[in-house]
Amino acid sequence: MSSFGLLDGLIASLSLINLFYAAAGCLLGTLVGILPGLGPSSAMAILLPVAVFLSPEQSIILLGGVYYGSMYGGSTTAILMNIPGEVASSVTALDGYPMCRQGRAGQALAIAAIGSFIAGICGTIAVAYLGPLIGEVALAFGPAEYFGLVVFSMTALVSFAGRSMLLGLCMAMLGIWLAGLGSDPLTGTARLSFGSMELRKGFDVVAVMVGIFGIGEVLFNIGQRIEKTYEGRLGSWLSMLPRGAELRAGLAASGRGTLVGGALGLIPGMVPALTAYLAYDVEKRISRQPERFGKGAIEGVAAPEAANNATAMSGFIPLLSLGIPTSPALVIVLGALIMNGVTPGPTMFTHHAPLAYTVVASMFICNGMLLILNLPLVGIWARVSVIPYRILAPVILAVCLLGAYAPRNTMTDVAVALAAGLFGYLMRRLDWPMAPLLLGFLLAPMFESSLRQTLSISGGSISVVLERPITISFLCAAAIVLSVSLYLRYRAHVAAQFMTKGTNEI
Amino acid sequence: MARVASPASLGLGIVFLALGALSIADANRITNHVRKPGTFDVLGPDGYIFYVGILLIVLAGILGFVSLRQEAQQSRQCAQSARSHVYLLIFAVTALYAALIPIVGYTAATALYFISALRVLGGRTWPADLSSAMILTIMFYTAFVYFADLPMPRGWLFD
Repeated sequence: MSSFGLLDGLIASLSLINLFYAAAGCLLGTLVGILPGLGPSSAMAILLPVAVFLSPEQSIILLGGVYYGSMYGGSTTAILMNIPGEVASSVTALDGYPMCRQGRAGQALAIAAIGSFIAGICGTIAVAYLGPLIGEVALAFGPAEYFGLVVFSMTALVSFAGRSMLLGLCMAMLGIWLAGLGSDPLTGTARLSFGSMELRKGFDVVAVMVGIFGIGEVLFNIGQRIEKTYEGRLGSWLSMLPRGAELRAGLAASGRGTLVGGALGLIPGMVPALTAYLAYDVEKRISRQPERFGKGAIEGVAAPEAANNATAMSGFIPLLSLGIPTSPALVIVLGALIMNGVTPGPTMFTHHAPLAYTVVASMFICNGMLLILNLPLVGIWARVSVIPYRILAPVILAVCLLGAYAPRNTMTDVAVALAAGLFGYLMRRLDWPMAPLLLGFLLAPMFESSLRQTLSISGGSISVVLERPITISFLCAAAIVLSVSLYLRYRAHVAAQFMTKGTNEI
Repeated sequence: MARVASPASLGLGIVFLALGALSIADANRITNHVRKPGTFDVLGPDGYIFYVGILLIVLAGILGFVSLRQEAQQSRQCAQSARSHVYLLIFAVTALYAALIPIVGYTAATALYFISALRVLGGRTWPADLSSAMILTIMFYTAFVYFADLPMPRGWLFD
């Protein structure tokens, strides 16, 4: 049994060369996060050959820095331009961009950095102390449990539905339909592709997201003759930082987001985008003023940002302790470890203790570095909101097209982004909710796979879900959340009608 | 409060009806021509999209009957009065840009796009717009082609 612990790991990771790789990874990751379309997986894949020439510690520190950096960087464009740099940042845009339009871009960027930092530090502590103990939770998840989890996740639709539940449901169904197009995830059968090889690849989530959020937003703003994202004057750097009640609300939301993202991040398949949605949903449900969400609530930025970073962090627990990568980016980290002769597993923290604890300690370093790198930049980034829109709009549109093209290098995705952009414009104009469409699109593959696998195992009987305690718990929780949410919506609707009637009578 | 059917929700209902019909038709194609009987996959790729199609048609039916609130329509109509049609022009310019990239290459198409987009969005003077477009093109080239080394599409006229 090795006596190497977290403190030893911290000392080892504080060497100059390790600090250099952490800084390089964070900087590169932040840039990757800012550019829509260039995700952490592709940037890490590009860096993988470089990792061969580094020691295992250095390669994991470099790749980890890119991973955490991109999780944070994606929020910058989401807040400033309503273009999520990463899929996970699409939730941040819901309140981050309205904050920017109110001249509070600095506060939004700062709380995103602080929330990510809190989640990063808590996630690191969890990896170090709880990792070996709770990593096995992931092994308890089979197809039936995933089915329960997806059904539970779908209850978030109630929060994102906006003024009409029916429209929210319709948008989610549209997302599910769009995700079903292309090759079937289990057998590869071509569906709804009508003989087209391009359609057989299916729609890329980045192209759809960039179109609906980015292009749609620009077209809508141009239609409304917006001169600048924020028409007022921005204050000093210090005045842009959140303080008082706003800071307290942001910090509390970051804590809750960390819990949601950290707990769900242990489960394979729970990508940061999904946990960010769920964290936002939790915030909206527990808020005394849920109507503030979508209009610039700081909790709507802090919670999803913390959740996506916590998920990124807690994904290292099953990776290091069980050898299970929970996201595509972590598959690359696993690849880097194996290339260096290290096979993660239950003995990782004993047989490879120096490596395991150096990697864990480097998470502290990387998160601290991200905060140091990004907080001073808040003032500079916030100035983007006062650039004349006639210059900013073409730039955003050009970045959107590039973002749609980059993941798969095909012009078909650019055409999809343009079509999604027109649809996004229409959705804004008609006040249709956008988030359910993306949520349906993200959840559909997991829903389909888990449902079909569950039915295959049970020979076609759905009753198998009733024999699994975890699945039953998820389904009961979904039923309770759905009933309470629908009841509260109904009460709010009745109260609004009553008040309108009273005002009319006066 | 009178409840009226909005053309938008009816339009969405028609789209859903079409998508649902497409799903069911494709599910039948897979069942009859692609899928082999007796596989372990009980629901199958066809069964899944069949039920998605059924749900879409059910939603289309509900959309046809249930209407949106009148006040929401009115509030949006007020906001729409301030809108212009410049967004259609800029969309056309952007679509043209995407179409031009495989012909003239990324860099040349980007330069042409920025010039056109700046003019459409209320350009100041030609020299000012030309110089802004050149600066933006150089910035994009430096960031995405030179440093990020993204594999940009190459045109048959220029690289």
